[in-house]
Amino acid sequence: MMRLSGINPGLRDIFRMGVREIYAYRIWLYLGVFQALLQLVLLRAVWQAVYGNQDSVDGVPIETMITYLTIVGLLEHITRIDIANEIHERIDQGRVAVDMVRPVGFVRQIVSLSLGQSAGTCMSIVVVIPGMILFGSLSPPSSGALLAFLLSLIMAYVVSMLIWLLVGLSGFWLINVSGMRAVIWVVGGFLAGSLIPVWFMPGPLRTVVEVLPFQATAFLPASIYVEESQGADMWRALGIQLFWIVALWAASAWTWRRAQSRIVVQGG
Amino acid sequence: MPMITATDLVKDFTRTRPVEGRFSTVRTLFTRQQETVRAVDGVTLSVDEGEIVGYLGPNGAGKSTTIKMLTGILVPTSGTVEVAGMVPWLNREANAMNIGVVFGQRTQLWWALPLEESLRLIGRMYRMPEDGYRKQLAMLTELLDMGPFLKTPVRQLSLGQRMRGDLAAAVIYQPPILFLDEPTVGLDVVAKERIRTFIEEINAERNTTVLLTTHDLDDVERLCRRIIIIDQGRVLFDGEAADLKRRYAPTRLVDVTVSGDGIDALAQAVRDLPVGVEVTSHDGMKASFEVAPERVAVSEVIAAISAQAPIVDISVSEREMDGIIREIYEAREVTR
Repeated sequence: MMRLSGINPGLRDIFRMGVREIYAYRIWLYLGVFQALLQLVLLRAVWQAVYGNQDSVDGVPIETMITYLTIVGLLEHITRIDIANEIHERIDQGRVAVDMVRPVGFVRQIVSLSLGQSAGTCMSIVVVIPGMILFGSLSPPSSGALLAFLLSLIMAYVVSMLIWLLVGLSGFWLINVSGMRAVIWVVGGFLAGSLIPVWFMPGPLRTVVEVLPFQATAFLPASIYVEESQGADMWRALGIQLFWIVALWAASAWTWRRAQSRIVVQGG
Repeated sequence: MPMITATDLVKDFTRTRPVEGRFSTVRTLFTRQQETVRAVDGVTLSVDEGEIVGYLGPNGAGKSTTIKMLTGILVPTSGTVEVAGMVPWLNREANAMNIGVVFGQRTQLWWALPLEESLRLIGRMYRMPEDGYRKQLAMLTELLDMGPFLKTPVRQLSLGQRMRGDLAAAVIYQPPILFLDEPTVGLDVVAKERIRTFIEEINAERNTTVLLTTHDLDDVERLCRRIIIIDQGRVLFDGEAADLKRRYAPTRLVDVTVSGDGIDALAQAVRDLPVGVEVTSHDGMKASFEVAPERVAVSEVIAAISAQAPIVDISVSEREMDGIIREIYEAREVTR
């Protein structure tokens, strides 16, 4: 049997194609930046109203709260991954047939494209970060926390990628996943802590958050950045993220193995 | 040596049965009633190295489903497949290096990329060395006359250009096996001819094994010595195209026209025909006959007519492949 070792060189081209797609549809990039900044402005206004003239609620100072919202907004902007939609389109149009006769796995092709799109989106941080400093606050933490945050940020991205990959792969059963995508988008966003930090959530809701992977995409890294989780808490947060990477990876691999025998090519 | 073998290949598809009657839309949401459709039902076939085999059948016969199993896209419900010694769906990536695939109905090129970049991406994916890629590209550009549109984005190509691009993409990495699923669908006569010539050349030069599905029997007459006909998921015929004709269309068609003063003579000749000739039409100066050559020689028939009537025009032809295949589809049964 032929051994196909090393990363397939074609994947680099697919990655580059992903980057280029973002620039080809530049308007979406602009809209994404606008949305991220608008959301920050609105959330900041809401939370300032909630705090009223108190400096701190439950031991969380208003400055920390604003930094938290800014970081979560930034994370959401970076970890926005369209892989589920990409898979959905390929199933819907029967393109999956073509992808399956390549000497590179389907999931690898699609993840490479998605990574390229993210790299393209990331370029926009040259606008987003100054904007966020203007409308929010990114007061930097200690260098140790910053380092841990960067690690956590990467893991947040991986968790987000795996969640959306799993949603996309479920399309081999559901054929149409747009409804599920919308639900996960809204509910997942809320459970990730992008509107309300988990520390303000009531007990039962917190339990729900803790057994689901969404907090690993926003709340955990953001709470490291604002140094709400430090020391053992910080390590625990990183550990939870790592756990979800392993678990979701295994789930995706399992799902993909099962999906392969369920493939139906639409349109002859 | 067989390059492609399939044994007792079966593929079932399940789908949710639509509910009929009142509130059917809502009830479909809650029903788990499924039905199974058998698209391929025990197909056994084998294709030798260097053969071009035509895989024919009416729409929905199971041709494309078979091709998708042979290429590793679909996993069969039961049965075995070996392509160049490998089970395609178990070794998808290694198998992909051995096969080139064209789906006439959809492109494998990237919509947004110019044709040349699409081909370059394929070259990289199939790990072609740079000089080998250049040589192949130059060769294919000439053979398929792609020069004028190499830099054009794929979405702007005409169907004929796109199909040539797709063929180039399927052969540029020199796979020993080609699966062509309706490679001439929707093309004009000139474009079809170009594609046929190309398939012929690739087969002759590289001894490439080709399995081809098509609805255009000119493709078959031109390219395939052997054909396999399937319908309702079963193989109806597997053998040489000439054999099919011999078996199902042994008769010759003879059309004669006589001069104006030979009308009565022709009528007389029609009455006196030798055994083994059947009159299919007779109208004044013209008559058509179907001759069974094993019972009476065509020349004898012509002699018999010309002895009585002054023939001014005559033609002898075989029955068209088209008609034979149509008859087989309609009869839906052929004894082997």
